[in-house]
Amino acid sequence: MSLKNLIKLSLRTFFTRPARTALTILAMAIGIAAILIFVSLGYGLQKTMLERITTAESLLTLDVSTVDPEVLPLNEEKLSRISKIENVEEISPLATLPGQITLGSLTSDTTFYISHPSYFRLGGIVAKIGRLFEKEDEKSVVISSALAKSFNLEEEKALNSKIKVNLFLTVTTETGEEKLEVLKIDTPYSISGIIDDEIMSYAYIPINTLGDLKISQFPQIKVKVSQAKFLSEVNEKIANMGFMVSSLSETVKEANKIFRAIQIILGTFGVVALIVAAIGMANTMTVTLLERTNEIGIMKAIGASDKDIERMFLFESMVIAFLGGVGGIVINFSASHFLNAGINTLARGLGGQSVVLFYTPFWLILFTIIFSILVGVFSGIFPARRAAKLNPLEALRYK
Amino acid sequence: MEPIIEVKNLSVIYNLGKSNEVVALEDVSLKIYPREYIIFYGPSGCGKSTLLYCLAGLETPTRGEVLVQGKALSEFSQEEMVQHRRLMIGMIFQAYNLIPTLKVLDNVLLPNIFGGLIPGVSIEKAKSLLEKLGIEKLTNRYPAELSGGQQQRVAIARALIYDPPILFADEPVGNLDSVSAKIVMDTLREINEKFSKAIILVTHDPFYLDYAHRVFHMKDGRIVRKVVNPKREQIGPFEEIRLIKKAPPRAKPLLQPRALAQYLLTSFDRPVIRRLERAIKKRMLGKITEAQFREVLDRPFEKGGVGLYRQTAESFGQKIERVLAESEFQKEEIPIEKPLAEIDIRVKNLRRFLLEDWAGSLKREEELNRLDNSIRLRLEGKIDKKEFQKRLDLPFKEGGVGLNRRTAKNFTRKLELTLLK
Repeated sequence: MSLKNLIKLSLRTFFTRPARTALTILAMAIGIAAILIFVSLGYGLQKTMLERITTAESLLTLDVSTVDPEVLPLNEEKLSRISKIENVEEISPLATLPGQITLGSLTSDTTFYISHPSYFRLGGIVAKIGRLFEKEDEKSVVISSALAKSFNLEEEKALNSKIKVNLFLTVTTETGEEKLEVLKIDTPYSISGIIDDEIMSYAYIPINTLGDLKISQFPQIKVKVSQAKFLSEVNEKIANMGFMVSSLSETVKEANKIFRAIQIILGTFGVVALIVAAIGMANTMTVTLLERTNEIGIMKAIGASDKDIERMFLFESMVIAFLGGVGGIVINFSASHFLNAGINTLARGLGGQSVVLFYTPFWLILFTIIFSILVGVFSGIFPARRAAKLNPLEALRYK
Repeated sequence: MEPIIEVKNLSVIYNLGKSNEVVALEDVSLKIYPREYIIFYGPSGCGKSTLLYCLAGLETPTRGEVLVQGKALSEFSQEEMVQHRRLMIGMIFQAYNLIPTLKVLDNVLLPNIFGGLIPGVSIEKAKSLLEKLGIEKLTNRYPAELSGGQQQRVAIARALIYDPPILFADEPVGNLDSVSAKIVMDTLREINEKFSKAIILVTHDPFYLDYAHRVFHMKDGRIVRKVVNPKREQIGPFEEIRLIKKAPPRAKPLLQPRALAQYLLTSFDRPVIRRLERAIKKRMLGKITEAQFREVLDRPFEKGGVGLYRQTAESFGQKIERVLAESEFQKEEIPIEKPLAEIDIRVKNLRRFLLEDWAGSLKREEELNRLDNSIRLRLEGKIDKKEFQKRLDLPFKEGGVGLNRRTAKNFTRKLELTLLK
């Protein structure tokens, strides 16, 4: 039987029994959509979370810190040694100093993170509003939202405000005493961006804006390796030097495991809905079989083979299931669109951020199509076999 | 001339091996020659349709053989059978059996849809067939929009699409008014003459018998007479056809009173007559006493007796005793059925027990024999449970009974249960 004729014979049901066929497709579509929506929710949550905390580069980055700066300081020499380790692509050190920020008449204590612009990139740090500084000697400062709050500033208005910076340095005198020195930086900085952190108060300033101040020790550096597969190797080498090493990718791996579990649980709910739909479809096909028994008898009597009959039935259920799959995808996208819009409206109203809650990866769509056709095969195969095996004479007499 | 269809000792028994066995065809033999127009004629239930479907390969004979162009249908593979239905025969039914959801043209082309596109079979051919049958204007209509006569002509076109040498028609005008019926019958005759097709037609209406070359009269599953139509020139080989022709046809007016008289005199069903015969045989052989004989005649049919009224049983008993007393000498000459051994009885009972509440039924006598044989072997302990099930499950062509796996398993389980007792 040619494909054209197969289509012609199998798809008559769309015209002869439009309501029944449409309902079967709808049931199937809802089943498929249930799976899709649940799994998309799992993926959406995962994606949103990970996008907040990571950039692609931060996943290739190791955090190196020292246990005791007195015994094993992270100084220039160590930095150059680390940067020479095989497969290390880039390093970015970070120094911390306590200090004060003055804005207008207000002064607030805070912690200064003195860094290169690359630190943001490697650390996966993004600005909530405004921008991060891009040059080593830019007179810009990036502050946390907690710090902005302590100045009673609305975040939008804080941007581009001029501030003055005082740094507190601990200096060891000749007698061995430790003394606090205040380094006033004359030229004001302008706030270029704000990082979303409601808890900690800190400010990032570019490392080359501190004039003569020479920083020789770093409590933390970021080390970026060229490829993910070298992470553990480089990790080990640095750890052997006595430093503490941690990486975001480890954390992400853990988080992903949890999300995988969530997706499976959500997917299972969807599968139940799909099973119900598949049973409904098998039922429809069986009813169709009974309805067409006489017709099958006629066809067999005039020369249809068992295979022809089986193919006709199977094709029909595959097409119904396929359309159910397509319908499911459409329902999924419209439902998640509306749900997302609704939730975001609510979130903005309550002062939150808008998020993408549903994410349907392309492979999931492809998988859904193939899976729905498979469901069609499974729910169609038994009625199809039964139809094929009918005795033509008994089928002819069936009324 | 070689016959296009030859039937040898064909029998069809429904519900084979069960207590409600029905003999639909019994020992039918016939030959049909190419281009012949044959009518199977008889009252309803005489087995004429069953015979037709056997020839078409849609019914499996219990015994005997159907040869089409010298090839036995029973030896056809599944694929050969499909090809046979597709290319060798065309089917026309009483209920037209068009597909209601397909237009006329697609209905005509339907065999070709399954057959794969065979060169020369095309829309043009379908249209020219419809034109020859005078219904070319209906090409794009659905069957429900056509009159019965028109529908039947569409069905004829469908049967002719592959140019098969044989057409089967099962009461083709049974649903039609006389005007439409005449058109359809004339069409069939024209197809027989101009297209040189053998036509085998089943009818219970004596009005159409003149269309045929030969008419096979049927009754109770047998062909009772083969009548040559003197108005049509015969096709078959001289000896066979003429022989029948020479036998003086019984005049119709004589036949009817006789049939009626027979009807009046023997108002018993076939199974009843059989049991009566069996009981008489037993009595003749002295297997049962006179009293037992009468008891058997009187006992209800369901309980294995003949099921006659008390008085009838008494009077039959007396009559038989009288006849027997006078013809004692015949005893030796009657061919004696070997009495069944005890194991045979057990086998038979067990087989009936197995078949009784099975929804399906056996088709061939050989299947029944194989089943009996397997039961016997199991009873004698010559095969084990596994082997028994295997024999039931094995396809017929490989020497098994050919049951499906579940049925074989069920039968085995049931049998083993009874063996445990």
